[in-house]
Amino acid sequence: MNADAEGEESVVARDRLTRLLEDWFREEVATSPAGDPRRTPLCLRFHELSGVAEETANLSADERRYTRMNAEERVQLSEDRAAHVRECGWCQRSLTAYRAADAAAEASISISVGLEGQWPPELRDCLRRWLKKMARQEHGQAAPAHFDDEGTFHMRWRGLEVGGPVKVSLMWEGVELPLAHGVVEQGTLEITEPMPGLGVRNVEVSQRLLRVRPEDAP
Amino acid sequence: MPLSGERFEELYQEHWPLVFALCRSRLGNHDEALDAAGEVFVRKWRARHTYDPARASFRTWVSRNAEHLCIDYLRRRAVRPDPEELPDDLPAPEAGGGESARSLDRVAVGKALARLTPRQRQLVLMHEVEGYTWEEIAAMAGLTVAQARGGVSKGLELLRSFLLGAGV
Repeated sequence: MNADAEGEESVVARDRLTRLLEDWFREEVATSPAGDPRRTPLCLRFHELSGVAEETANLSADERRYTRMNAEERVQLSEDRAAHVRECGWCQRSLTAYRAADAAAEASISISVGLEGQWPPELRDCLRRWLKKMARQEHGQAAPAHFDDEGTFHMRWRGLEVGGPVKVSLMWEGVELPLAHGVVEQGTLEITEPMPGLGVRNVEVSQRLLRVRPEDAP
Repeated sequence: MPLSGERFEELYQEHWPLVFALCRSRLGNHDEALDAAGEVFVRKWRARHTYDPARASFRTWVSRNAEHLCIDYLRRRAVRPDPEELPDDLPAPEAGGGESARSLDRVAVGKALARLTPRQRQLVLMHEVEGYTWEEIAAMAGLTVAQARGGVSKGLELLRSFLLGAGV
């Protein structure tokens, strides 16, 4: 058999293997249960998780104040459901997972950007690339952040020890990029200016790559 | 506009089989896969404000999280091995009376995948089934691109030899 024929055969074998794997996985999906068999009609709905998680957690007054609850998340369970939730493995696991998921994100931090209008296009491109790269590389240690429809950057981050006017910088590969100015009050920094034009949505920014320090720090 | 609770429940119903199958195929353990799949949806519910359908489908959004979570589970297992985890626990379709060659092939594929290490299995499935790029696999699995390529290549080589041995 010549080299071309061998190569062709190898491609065919590889394609067949891929198809076999795809078929196998498709069948796996098709034969999976329609839902978690341990989840019963009495179990918590997703929209009830936050309300119950907060009510049953041992939160400090500050933590309760920082926890955002909207009308949908407030929950009043009937007695039998409340009893079920206390005993049910699925509900308890879900509550534990809910509390653990992004536990570093109870306080809401938004970043006020006064610099964006002065950024040259190259700097915007650079920031866009960095944010995308960080979203990929830093998963697991990241704080959820996103740009809303108006291009305003939102981020939630607990445990900031600084207060008052702050500078927020993005650290990447030893370079510090001034990102924003703002004021931290009880862990919350209000957005006052949007960051349109970056074209980035739903990023997860590593906390260790953000530096927040008092405005008057050297 | 964040996903409403009602819409999220619908998406949960629609995508649960996929997420469960993904977790089970990576973890090779039914109960652990149930836990992992449940955790994926709880995490996604909590992060619902970050979901942007213009950027990624819900399927992509939950699948990526499932991959990440399985990597975490496997790392934890590496630190504290689970004596009950059995590689052969990977499922394969039951071979019934009217079985076709394709279903026999799927049985063989399930058995062959079960013989890979969890890491090899995940890398192969991420690349061959989910279609992630080398860069994406490397970033998610905490590997270099070369390591990701090497892992997939080795996994495929083993799979091929297992399947040849099984007459597929």
